[in-house]
Amino acid sequence: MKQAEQLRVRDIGLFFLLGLMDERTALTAAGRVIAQLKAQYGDSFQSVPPVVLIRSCRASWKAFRRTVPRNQPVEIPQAAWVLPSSPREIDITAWGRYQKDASDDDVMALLFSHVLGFSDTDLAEGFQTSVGTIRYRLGKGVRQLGLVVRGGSAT
Amino acid sequence: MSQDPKTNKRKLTPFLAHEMLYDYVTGHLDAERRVAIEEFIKTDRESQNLIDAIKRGIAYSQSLREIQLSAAALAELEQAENLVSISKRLARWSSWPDSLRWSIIAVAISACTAGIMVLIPWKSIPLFSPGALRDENTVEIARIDAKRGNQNDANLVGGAQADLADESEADSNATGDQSGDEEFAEESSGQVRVPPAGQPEPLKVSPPSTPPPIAVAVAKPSSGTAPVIPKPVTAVAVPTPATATQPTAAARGRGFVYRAFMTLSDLETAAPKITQQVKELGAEKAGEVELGWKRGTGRYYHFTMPEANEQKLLEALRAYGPVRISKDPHPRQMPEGEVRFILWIESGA
Repeated sequence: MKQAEQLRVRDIGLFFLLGLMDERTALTAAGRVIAQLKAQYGDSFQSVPPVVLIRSCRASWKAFRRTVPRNQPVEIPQAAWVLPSSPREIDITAWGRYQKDASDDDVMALLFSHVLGFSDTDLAEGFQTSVGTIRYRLGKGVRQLGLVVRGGSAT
Repeated sequence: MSQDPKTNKRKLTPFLAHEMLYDYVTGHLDAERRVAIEEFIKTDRESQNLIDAIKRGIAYSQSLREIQLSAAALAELEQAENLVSISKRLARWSSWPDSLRWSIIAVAISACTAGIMVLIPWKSIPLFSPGALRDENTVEIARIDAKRGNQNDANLVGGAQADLADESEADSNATGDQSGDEEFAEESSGQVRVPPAGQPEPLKVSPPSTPPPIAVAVAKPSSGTAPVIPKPVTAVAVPTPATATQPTAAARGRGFVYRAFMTLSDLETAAPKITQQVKELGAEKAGEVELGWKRGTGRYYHFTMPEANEQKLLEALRAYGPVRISKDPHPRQMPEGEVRFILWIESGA
Protein backbone atom coordinates (compact mmCIF):
# COMPACT_ATOMS: atom_id res chain seq x y z
CA MET A 1 0.00 0.00 0.00
CA LYS A 2 1.31 3.44 -0.80
CA GLN A 3 2.50 5.67 2.01
CA ALA A 4 -0.07 8.36 1.27
CA GLU A 5 -2.84 5.81 1.42
CA GLN A 6 -1.42 4.44 4.66
CA LEU A 7 -1.40 7.91 6.19
CA ARG A 8 -4.99 8.40 5.14
CA VAL A 9 -5.99 5.12 6.77
CA ARG A 10 -4.12 6.09 9.91
CA ASP A 11 -5.88 9.48 10.05
CA ILE A 12 -9.30 7.91 9.78
CA GLY A 13 -8.51 5.26 12.36
CA LEU A 14 -7.11 7.79 14.80
CA PHE A 15 -10.12 10.05 14.34
CA PHE A 16 -12.52 7.31 15.40
CA LEU A 17 -10.34 5.90 18.15
CA LEU A 18 -10.02 9.30 19.80
CA GLY A 19 -13.55 10.32 19.03
CA LEU A 20 -15.37 7.21 20.20
CA MET A 21 -12.83 5.87 22.71
CA ASP A 22 -14.08 2.35 22.03
CA GLU A 23 -11.64 0.19 20.15
CA ARG A 24 -14.00 -2.23 18.43
CA THR A 25 -16.60 0.39 17.55
CA ALA A 26 -13.92 2.78 16.34
CA LEU A 27 -12.29 0.21 14.04
CA THR A 28 -15.66 -0.83 12.65
CA ALA A 29 -16.66 2.77 11.96
CA ALA A 30 -13.27 3.58 10.43
CA GLY A 31 -13.40 0.44 8.30
CA ARG A 32 -16.78 1.41 6.98
CA VAL A 33 -15.57 4.85 5.96
CA ILE A 34 -12.45 3.46 4.31
CA ALA A 35 -14.46 0.90 2.39
CA GLN A 36 -16.90 3.54 1.27
CA LEU A 37 -14.13 5.81 0.04
CA LYS A 38 -12.38 2.93 -1.70
CA ALA A 39 -15.58 2.08 -3.48
CA GLN A 40 -15.94 5.68 -4.52
CA TYR A 41 -12.36 6.51 -5.46
CA GLY A 42 -10.67 3.15 -6.06
CA ASP A 43 -6.96 3.49 -6.66
CA SER A 44 -6.99 7.21 -5.89
CA PHE A 45 -8.21 6.61 -2.36
CA GLN A 46 -5.31 8.53 -0.91
CA SER A 47 -6.33 11.65 -2.83
CA VAL A 48 -9.85 11.83 -1.48
CA PRO A 49 -10.83 15.50 -1.13
CA PRO A 50 -10.75 16.67 2.52
CA VAL A 51 -14.36 17.77 2.43
CA VAL A 52 -15.49 14.32 1.30
CA LEU A 53 -13.41 12.68 4.00
CA ILE A 54 -14.80 15.01 6.67
CA ARG A 55 -18.38 14.37 5.62
CA SER A 56 -17.91 10.61 5.47
CA CYS A 57 -16.28 10.51 8.91
CA ARG A 58 -18.94 12.77 10.39
CA ALA A 59 -21.76 10.63 9.03
CA SER A 60 -20.17 7.43 10.27
CA TRP A 61 -19.44 9.07 13.64
CA LYS A 62 -23.10 9.97 14.09
CA ALA A 63 -24.15 6.43 13.23
CA PHE A 64 -21.76 4.76 15.68
CA ARG A 65 -21.80 7.37 18.42
CA ARG A 66 -25.17 6.08 19.60
CA THR A 67 -23.69 2.65 20.29
CA VAL A 68 -21.17 4.11 22.72
CA PRO A 69 -22.98 5.41 25.80
CA ARG A 70 -21.63 8.66 27.18
CA ASN A 71 -22.04 7.61 30.77
CA GLN A 72 -19.86 4.57 30.48
CA PRO A 73 -16.45 4.66 32.15
CA VAL A 74 -13.70 6.00 29.94
CA GLU A 75 -11.99 3.04 28.32
CA ILE A 76 -8.60 3.62 26.86
CA PRO A 77 -7.90 1.53 23.79
CA GLN A 78 -4.73 -0.41 24.31
CA ALA A 79 -4.29 -2.75 21.37
CA ALA A 80 -5.27 -0.41 18.57
CA TRP A 81 -2.76 2.36 19.00
CA VAL A 82 0.76 2.98 20.04
CA LEU A 83 1.21 5.95 22.35
CA PRO A 84 4.48 7.80 22.05
CA SER A 85 6.80 7.43 25.02
CA SER A 86 9.25 10.06 23.95
CA PRO A 87 10.02 12.88 23.98
CA ARG A 88 7.14 13.08 26.42
CA GLU A 89 4.38 10.81 27.52
CA ILE A 90 0.79 11.61 26.67
CA ASP A 91 -1.82 11.36 29.39
CA ILE A 92 -4.61 9.98 27.29
CA THR A 93 -7.03 9.96 30.20
CA ALA A 94 -7.27 13.76 29.95
CA TRP A 95 -8.56 13.35 26.44
CA GLY A 96 -11.01 10.74 27.66
CA ARG A 97 -12.41 13.12 30.25
CA TYR A 98 -12.69 15.94 27.74
CA GLN A 99 -14.25 13.74 25.07
CA LYS A 100 -16.86 12.47 27.52
CA ASP A 101 -18.15 15.95 28.39
CA ALA A 102 -17.71 17.88 25.13
CA SER A 103 -20.27 18.07 22.37
CA ASP A 104 -19.82 15.85 19.32
CA ASP A 105 -19.30 18.74 16.94
CA ASP A 106 -16.66 20.31 19.22
CA VAL A 107 -14.76 17.04 19.52
CA MET A 108 -14.94 16.38 15.80
CA ALA A 109 -13.85 19.91 14.93
CA LEU A 110 -10.95 19.68 17.34
CA LEU A 111 -9.84 16.32 15.96
CA PHE A 112 -10.08 17.39 12.36
CA SER A 113 -8.35 20.71 12.89
CA HIS A 114 -5.66 20.26 15.53
CA VAL A 115 -5.03 16.50 15.37
CA LEU A 116 -5.48 15.74 11.68
CA GLY A 117 -4.59 19.20 10.37
CA PHE A 118 -7.54 20.07 8.14
CA SER A 119 -8.14 23.74 7.40
CA ASP A 120 -10.99 25.75 8.83
CA THR A 121 -12.39 26.25 5.36
CA ASP A 122 -12.55 22.51 4.72
CA LEU A 123 -14.13 22.00 8.09
CA ALA A 124 -16.74 24.66 7.43
CA GLU A 125 -17.62 23.05 4.11
CA GLY A 126 -17.60 19.56 5.57
CA PHE A 127 -19.79 20.58 8.47
CA GLN A 128 -21.89 22.73 6.16
CA THR A 129 -21.55 25.78 8.38
CA SER A 130 -19.58 29.03 8.45
CA VAL A 131 -15.91 29.43 9.19
CA GLY A 132 -16.82 31.61 12.14
CA THR A 133 -18.87 28.82 13.68
CA ILE A 134 -16.01 26.41 13.19
CA ARG A 135 -13.58 28.80 14.85
CA TYR A 136 -15.98 29.30 17.72
CA ARG A 137 -16.22 25.52 18.24
CA LEU A 138 -12.48 25.16 18.02
CA GLY A 139 -11.94 27.93 20.55
CA LYS A 140 -14.40 26.39 22.94
CA GLY A 141 -12.95 22.95 22.41
CA VAL A 142 -9.31 23.77 23.02
CA ARG A 143 -10.24 25.94 25.97
CA GLN A 144 -12.14 23.06 27.60
CA LEU A 145 -9.38 20.65 26.74
CA GLY A 146 -6.82 22.99 28.23
CA LEU A 147 -8.79 23.28 31.40
CA VAL A 148 -9.02 19.48 31.62
CA VAL A 149 -5.34 18.92 31.14
CA ARG A 150 -4.37 21.79 33.49
CA GLY A 151 -2.21 20.54 36.25
CA GLY A 152 -1.95 17.11 34.62
CA SER A 153 1.07 15.45 33.14
CA ALA A 154 -0.15 15.57 29.61
CA THR A 155 1.97 18.43 28.44
CA MET B 1 -17.83 47.56 23.02
CA SER B 2 -17.94 50.67 25.20
CA GLN B 3 -16.42 53.99 24.24
CA ASP B 4 -13.35 55.25 26.17
CA PRO B 5 -13.87 59.04 26.66
CA LYS B 6 -10.17 59.75 27.06
CA THR B 7 -8.78 57.96 24.03
CA ASN B 8 -12.02 58.06 22.06
CA LYS B 9 -11.51 54.35 21.35
CA ARG B 10 -13.95 51.51 21.77
CA LYS B 11 -13.27 49.35 24.80
CA LEU B 12 -13.67 45.53 24.74
CA THR B 13 -16.15 43.91 27.07
CA PRO B 14 -14.93 40.77 28.91
CA PHE B 15 -17.36 38.59 26.92
CA LEU B 16 -16.10 39.75 23.54
CA ALA B 17 -12.51 39.58 24.70
CA HIS B 18 -12.90 35.98 25.89
CA GLU B 19 -14.52 34.95 22.64
CA MET B 20 -11.67 36.45 20.66
CA LEU B 21 -8.93 34.81 22.69
CA TYR B 22 -8.73 31.76 20.42
CA ASP B 23 -8.36 33.95 17.35
CA TYR B 24 -5.78 35.97 19.23
CA VAL B 25 -3.76 32.88 20.11
CA THR B 26 -3.95 31.48 16.59
CA GLY B 27 -3.12 34.83 15.00
CA HIS B 28 -6.36 35.46 13.19
CA LEU B 29 -7.02 38.95 14.54
CA ASP B 30 -6.26 42.13 12.69
CA ALA B 31 -3.76 44.58 14.18
CA GLU B 32 -6.32 46.86 15.82
CA ARG B 33 -8.10 43.99 17.54
CA ARG B 34 -4.84 42.43 18.55
CA VAL B 35 -3.77 45.62 20.29
CA ALA B 36 -7.14 45.88 21.98
CA ILE B 37 -6.97 42.28 23.23
CA GLU B 38 -3.43 42.71 24.49
CA GLU B 39 -4.45 45.74 26.43
CA PHE B 40 -7.44 43.92 27.83
CA ILE B 41 -5.42 40.86 28.87
CA LYS B 42 -3.06 43.02 30.91
CA THR B 43 -5.85 43.97 33.25
CA ASP B 44 -7.98 40.83 33.12
CA ARG B 45 -6.77 37.82 35.11
CA GLU B 46 -9.43 35.49 33.78
CA SER B 47 -8.41 36.20 30.25
CA GLN B 48 -4.85 35.30 31.12
CA ASN B 49 -6.00 31.98 32.52
CA LEU B 50 -8.10 31.31 29.46
CA ILE B 51 -5.22 32.04 27.16
CA ASP B 52 -3.13 29.55 29.12
CA ALA B 53 -5.90 26.97 28.83
CA ILE B 54 -6.22 27.55 25.10
CA LYS B 55 -2.51 27.20 24.61
CA ARG B 56 -2.45 24.02 26.69
CA GLY B 57 -5.40 22.63 24.78
CA ILE B 58 -3.79 23.32 21.43
CA ALA B 59 -0.48 21.88 22.54
CA TYR B 60 -2.17 18.79 23.95
CA SER B 61 -4.29 18.19 20.87
CA GLN B 62 -1.27 18.58 18.65
CA SER B 63 0.58 16.07 20.78
CA LEU B 64 -2.15 13.58 19.93
CA ARG B 65 -0.86 13.62 16.35
CA GLU B 66 2.03 11.49 17.50
CA ILE B 67 -0.24 8.58 18.33
CA GLN B 68 0.24 5.78 15.84
CA LEU B 69 -2.08 2.91 15.08
CA SER B 70 -0.86 -0.54 15.90
CA ALA B 71 0.14 -2.75 13.00
CA ALA B 72 -2.84 -5.04 13.61
CA ALA B 73 -5.29 -2.16 13.60
CA LEU B 74 -3.69 -0.64 10.50
CA ALA B 75 -3.82 -3.97 8.68
CA GLU B 76 -7.43 -4.43 9.63
CA LEU B 77 -8.34 -1.01 8.27
CA GLU B 78 -6.34 -1.45 5.10
CA GLN B 79 -8.27 -4.60 4.36
CA ALA B 80 -11.56 -2.86 4.92
CA GLU B 81 -13.84 -3.24 1.93
CA ASN B 82 -17.51 -3.40 1.29
CA LEU B 83 -19.45 -5.07 -1.48
CA VAL B 84 -19.23 -2.04 -3.70
CA SER B 85 -15.49 -1.63 -3.32
CA ILE B 86 -14.94 -5.37 -3.82
CA SER B 87 -17.05 -5.43 -6.94
CA LYS B 88 -15.33 -2.33 -8.26
CA ARG B 89 -11.94 -3.82 -7.57
CA LEU B 90 -12.88 -7.03 -9.31
CA ALA B 91 -14.34 -5.10 -12.19
CA ARG B 92 -11.04 -3.35 -12.79
CA TRP B 93 -9.67 -4.70 -16.05
CA SER B 94 -6.09 -4.35 -14.90
CA SER B 95 -6.64 -6.64 -11.93
CA TRP B 96 -7.85 -9.56 -14.04
CA PRO B 97 -5.50 -12.47 -14.76
CA ASP B 98 -3.55 -12.12 -17.98
CA SER B 99 -4.82 -15.41 -19.34
CA LEU B 100 -8.43 -14.36 -18.84
CA ARG B 101 -7.83 -10.96 -20.36
CA TRP B 102 -6.13 -12.35 -23.47
CA SER B 103 -8.81 -14.99 -23.85
CA ILE B 104 -11.50 -12.36 -23.79
CA ILE B 105 -9.58 -10.27 -26.31
CA ALA B 106 -9.20 -13.27 -28.59
CA VAL B 107 -12.89 -14.11 -28.37
CA ALA B 108 -13.82 -10.51 -29.03
CA ILE B 109 -11.59 -10.32 -32.09
CA SER B 110 -12.97 -13.60 -33.41
CA ALA B 111 -16.53 -12.43 -32.89
CA CYS B 112 -15.82 -9.13 -34.62
CA THR B 113 -14.19 -10.89 -37.56
CA ALA B 114 -17.06 -13.31 -37.88
CA GLY B 115 -19.53 -10.47 -37.67
CA ILE B 116 -17.75 -8.53 -40.38
CA MET B 117 -17.62 -11.58 -42.62
CA VAL B 118 -21.34 -12.14 -42.14
CA LEU B 119 -22.41 -8.53 -42.50
CA ILE B 120 -20.39 -7.57 -45.59
CA PRO B 121 -22.45 -8.23 -48.73
CA TRP B 122 -19.74 -10.09 -50.56
CA LYS B 123 -21.96 -10.90 -53.53
CA SER B 124 -22.52 -7.24 -54.23
CA ILE B 125 -18.79 -6.59 -54.46
CA PRO B 126 -17.72 -7.21 -58.06
CA LEU B 127 -14.39 -8.63 -57.04
CA PHE B 128 -15.99 -11.32 -54.94
CA SER B 129 -19.16 -11.97 -56.96
CA PRO B 130 -19.59 -15.52 -58.26
CA GLY B 131 -19.10 -14.42 -61.84
CA ALA B 132 -15.74 -12.88 -61.10
CA LEU B 133 -13.98 -16.19 -61.48
CA ARG B 134 -15.54 -16.93 -64.83
CA ASP B 135 -13.02 -16.69 -67.59
CA GLU B 136 -13.43 -14.18 -70.33
CA ASN B 137 -14.23 -16.89 -72.85
CA THR B 138 -17.44 -17.73 -71.05
CA VAL B 139 -20.64 -16.03 -72.01
CA GLU B 140 -23.65 -16.28 -69.78
CA ILE B 141 -26.84 -16.60 -71.73
CA ALA B 142 -29.33 -16.76 -68.92
CA ARG B 143 -29.70 -17.70 -65.32
CA ILE B 144 -32.15 -20.38 -64.45
CA ASP B 145 -33.16 -21.19 -60.95
CA ALA B 146 -32.84 -24.67 -59.62
CA LYS B 147 -36.53 -25.52 -59.86
CA ARG B 148 -36.80 -24.52 -63.45
CA GLY B 149 -33.42 -25.86 -64.27
CA ASN B 150 -34.71 -29.38 -64.71
CA GLN B 151 -37.40 -28.25 -67.06
CA ASN B 152 -35.01 -26.21 -69.09
CA ASP B 153 -32.29 -28.75 -69.32
CA ALA B 154 -33.72 -29.55 -72.69
CA ASN B 155 -32.72 -26.09 -73.71
CA LEU B 156 -29.10 -26.86 -73.21
CA VAL B 157 -27.70 -27.38 -76.59
CA GLY B 158 -24.61 -28.12 -78.45
CA GLY B 159 -21.21 -29.22 -77.51
CA ALA B 160 -20.88 -26.32 -75.17
CA GLN B 161 -22.24 -28.32 -72.34
CA ALA B 162 -20.27 -31.26 -73.43
CA ASP B 163 -17.15 -29.14 -73.37
CA LEU B 164 -17.52 -28.58 -69.73
CA ALA B 165 -18.17 -32.17 -68.97
CA ASP B 166 -15.06 -33.56 -67.48
CA GLU B 167 -13.70 -36.28 -69.64
CA SER B 168 -11.48 -37.54 -66.94
CA GLU B 169 -14.36 -37.71 -64.57
CA ALA B 170 -16.29 -39.59 -67.14
CA ASP B 171 -13.39 -41.92 -67.56
CA SER B 172 -12.92 -42.41 -63.91
CA ASN B 173 -16.54 -43.36 -63.63
CA ALA B 174 -16.42 -45.56 -66.63
CA THR B 175 -16.66 -48.93 -65.10
CA GLY B 176 -18.83 -50.21 -67.90
CA ASP B 177 -19.96 -49.47 -71.37
CA GLN B 178 -22.56 -47.04 -70.27
CA SER B 179 -20.09 -44.50 -68.93
CA GLY B 180 -17.95 -44.76 -71.98
CA ASP B 181 -21.03 -44.29 -74.09
CA GLU B 182 -21.84 -41.10 -72.29
CA GLU B 183 -18.35 -39.77 -72.58
CA PHE B 184 -18.15 -40.59 -76.21
CA ALA B 185 -21.54 -39.14 -76.91
CA GLU B 186 -20.48 -35.90 -75.40
CA GLU B 187 -17.04 -35.69 -76.84
CA SER B 188 -17.41 -36.91 -80.35
CA SER B 189 -20.89 -36.24 -81.56
CA GLY B 190 -21.55 -32.95 -79.85
CA GLN B 191 -25.09 -33.94 -79.09
CA VAL B 192 -26.91 -32.57 -76.11
CA ARG B 193 -26.55 -34.51 -72.96
CA VAL B 194 -29.81 -34.48 -71.15
CA PRO B 195 -29.19 -35.11 -67.48
CA PRO B 196 -31.66 -37.14 -65.53
CA ALA B 197 -34.40 -35.30 -63.74
CA GLY B 198 -33.37 -33.76 -60.47
CA GLN B 199 -29.82 -33.09 -61.53
CA PRO B 200 -29.71 -29.54 -62.82
CA GLU B 201 -26.56 -28.56 -64.53
CA PRO B 202 -25.09 -25.12 -65.03
CA LEU B 203 -25.91 -23.40 -68.23
CA LYS B 204 -22.78 -22.25 -69.95
CA VAL B 205 -21.57 -22.08 -73.48
CA SER B 206 -18.21 -21.77 -74.97
CA PRO B 207 -17.05 -18.29 -75.97
CA PRO B 208 -17.85 -16.81 -79.32
CA SER B 209 -14.20 -16.06 -79.91
CA THR B 210 -13.44 -19.74 -80.08
CA PRO B 211 -16.54 -21.13 -81.66
CA PRO B 212 -17.38 -24.60 -80.59
CA PRO B 213 -17.02 -26.90 -83.50
CA ILE B 214 -19.93 -29.07 -82.65
CA ALA B 215 -22.88 -26.99 -81.65
CA VAL B 216 -23.88 -23.46 -80.84
CA ALA B 217 -26.42 -22.32 -78.33
CA VAL B 218 -28.79 -19.74 -79.72
CA ALA B 219 -30.87 -17.65 -77.41
CA LYS B 220 -33.52 -15.57 -79.12
CA PRO B 221 -33.66 -12.12 -77.55
CA SER B 222 -36.95 -11.14 -76.11
CA SER B 223 -38.70 -7.94 -77.06
CA GLY B 224 -40.00 -7.43 -73.55
CA THR B 225 -38.05 -6.19 -70.62
CA ALA B 226 -38.81 -9.11 -68.38
CA PRO B 227 -36.24 -11.83 -68.40
CA VAL B 228 -37.25 -14.66 -70.63
CA ILE B 229 -35.98 -18.14 -70.39
CA PRO B 230 -34.38 -19.06 -73.66
CA LYS B 231 -36.60 -21.04 -75.98
CA PRO B 232 -35.56 -24.55 -76.72
CA VAL B 233 -33.50 -24.76 -79.80
CA THR B 234 -32.49 -27.73 -81.78
CA ALA B 235 -28.98 -28.90 -81.49
CA VAL B 236 -27.33 -28.40 -84.81
CA ALA B 237 -24.33 -30.41 -85.71
CA VAL B 238 -21.69 -28.32 -87.36
CA PRO B 239 -19.01 -29.97 -89.40
CA THR B 240 -15.68 -29.49 -87.83
CA PRO B 241 -13.04 -27.85 -89.96
CA ALA B 242 -10.49 -30.09 -91.47
CA THR B 243 -7.67 -28.19 -89.92
CA ALA B 244 -7.20 -27.14 -86.39
CA THR B 245 -8.37 -23.65 -85.68
CA GLN B 246 -5.81 -21.30 -84.29
CA PRO B 247 -6.66 -20.51 -80.69
CA THR B 248 -6.90 -16.91 -79.71
CA ALA B 249 -4.29 -15.33 -77.54
CA ALA B 250 -6.64 -15.50 -74.62
CA ALA B 251 -7.44 -19.12 -75.20
CA ARG B 252 -3.82 -20.03 -75.67
CA GLY B 253 -3.17 -19.61 -72.01
CA ARG B 254 -6.20 -21.72 -71.13
CA GLY B 255 -6.83 -25.40 -71.29
CA PHE B 256 -7.76 -26.94 -74.59
CA VAL B 257 -8.41 -30.30 -76.18
CA TYR B 258 -7.88 -31.60 -79.66
CA ARG B 259 -10.94 -33.37 -81.02
CA ALA B 260 -10.26 -35.60 -83.99
CA PHE B 261 -12.71 -37.59 -86.07
CA MET B 262 -12.03 -40.24 -88.69
CA THR B 263 -14.03 -42.67 -90.73
CA LEU B 264 -12.20 -45.83 -91.77
CA SER B 265 -13.51 -48.75 -93.73
CA ASP B 266 -11.07 -51.27 -92.34
CA LEU B 267 -11.29 -50.14 -88.76
CA GLU B 268 -10.90 -53.59 -87.29
CA THR B 269 -7.52 -53.91 -88.93
CA ALA B 270 -6.35 -50.34 -88.48
CA ALA B 271 -7.46 -49.81 -84.89
CA PRO B 272 -4.79 -51.99 -83.23
CA LYS B 273 -2.13 -50.37 -85.37
CA ILE B 274 -3.34 -46.90 -84.54
CA THR B 275 -3.41 -47.81 -80.89
CA GLN B 276 0.14 -49.05 -81.13
CA GLN B 277 1.33 -45.95 -82.97
CA VAL B 278 -0.39 -43.67 -80.53
CA LYS B 279 1.30 -45.41 -77.64
CA GLU B 280 4.65 -45.22 -79.38
CA LEU B 281 4.23 -41.46 -79.64
CA GLY B 282 4.01 -41.27 -75.89
CA ALA B 283 0.25 -41.23 -75.49
CA GLU B 284 -1.21 -42.09 -72.12
CA LYS B 285 -4.85 -42.67 -71.55
CA ALA B 286 -6.50 -39.76 -69.81
CA GLY B 287 -8.90 -41.90 -67.84
CA GLU B 288 -9.77 -45.46 -67.12
CA VAL B 289 -11.10 -46.22 -70.54
CA GLU B 290 -8.37 -47.92 -72.48
CA LEU B 291 -7.07 -46.50 -75.72
CA GLY B 292 -9.09 -47.71 -78.64
CA TRP B 293 -12.08 -48.53 -76.50
CA LYS B 294 -14.66 -50.20 -78.68
CA ARG B 295 -18.07 -48.72 -78.81
CA GLY B 296 -20.53 -49.99 -81.35
CA THR B 297 -18.87 -49.65 -84.72
CA GLY B 298 -16.29 -47.12 -83.57
CA ARG B 299 -13.21 -46.72 -81.42
CA TYR B 300 -12.61 -44.10 -78.76
CA TYR B 301 -9.25 -42.67 -77.79
CA HIS B 302 -8.85 -40.20 -74.97
CA PHE B 303 -5.25 -39.56 -74.13
CA THR B 304 -2.54 -37.08 -73.36
CA MET B 305 0.78 -36.92 -75.13
CA PRO B 306 3.83 -34.70 -75.60
CA GLU B 307 3.09 -31.67 -77.68
CA ALA B 308 6.19 -32.34 -79.79
CA ASN B 309 4.60 -35.48 -81.18
CA GLU B 310 1.41 -33.77 -82.23
CA GLN B 311 2.38 -33.46 -85.89
CA LYS B 312 3.69 -37.00 -85.96
CA LEU B 313 0.39 -38.24 -84.67
CA LEU B 314 -1.56 -36.33 -87.30
CA GLU B 315 0.71 -37.66 -90.04
CA ALA B 316 0.29 -41.16 -88.74
CA LEU B 317 -3.48 -40.81 -88.67
CA ARG B 318 -3.65 -39.23 -92.12
CA ALA B 319 -1.91 -42.30 -93.44
CA TYR B 320 -5.14 -44.18 -92.75
CA GLY B 321 -7.54 -41.59 -94.06
CA PRO B 322 -8.79 -38.01 -93.72
CA VAL B 323 -8.80 -36.57 -90.27
CA ARG B 324 -11.06 -33.80 -89.06
CA ILE B 325 -9.60 -32.07 -86.11
CA SER B 326 -10.47 -29.08 -84.00
CA LYS B 327 -8.87 -27.38 -81.08
CA ASP B 328 -11.39 -26.44 -78.48
CA PRO B 329 -11.19 -24.66 -75.16
CA HIS B 330 -11.24 -26.88 -72.18
CA PRO B 331 -11.60 -26.09 -68.51
CA ARG B 332 -8.72 -28.35 -67.57
CA GLN B 333 -5.32 -26.95 -68.39
CA MET B 334 -2.59 -29.34 -69.36
CA PRO B 335 0.97 -29.08 -68.14
CA GLU B 336 3.47 -27.32 -70.33
CA GLY B 337 4.44 -29.46 -73.34
CA GLU B 338 1.45 -31.80 -72.99
CA VAL B 339 -1.71 -31.90 -75.09
CA ARG B 340 -4.98 -33.67 -74.66
CA PHE B 341 -6.58 -35.60 -77.53
CA ILE B 342 -9.98 -37.11 -78.01
CA LEU B 343 -10.09 -39.24 -81.11
CA TRP B 344 -13.11 -41.02 -82.45
CA ILE B 345 -12.78 -43.38 -85.37
CA GLU B 346 -15.98 -44.47 -86.97
CA SER B 347 -16.23 -47.59 -89.08
CA GLY B 348 -17.70 -46.90 -92.49
CA ALA B 349 -17.13 -46.44 -96.16
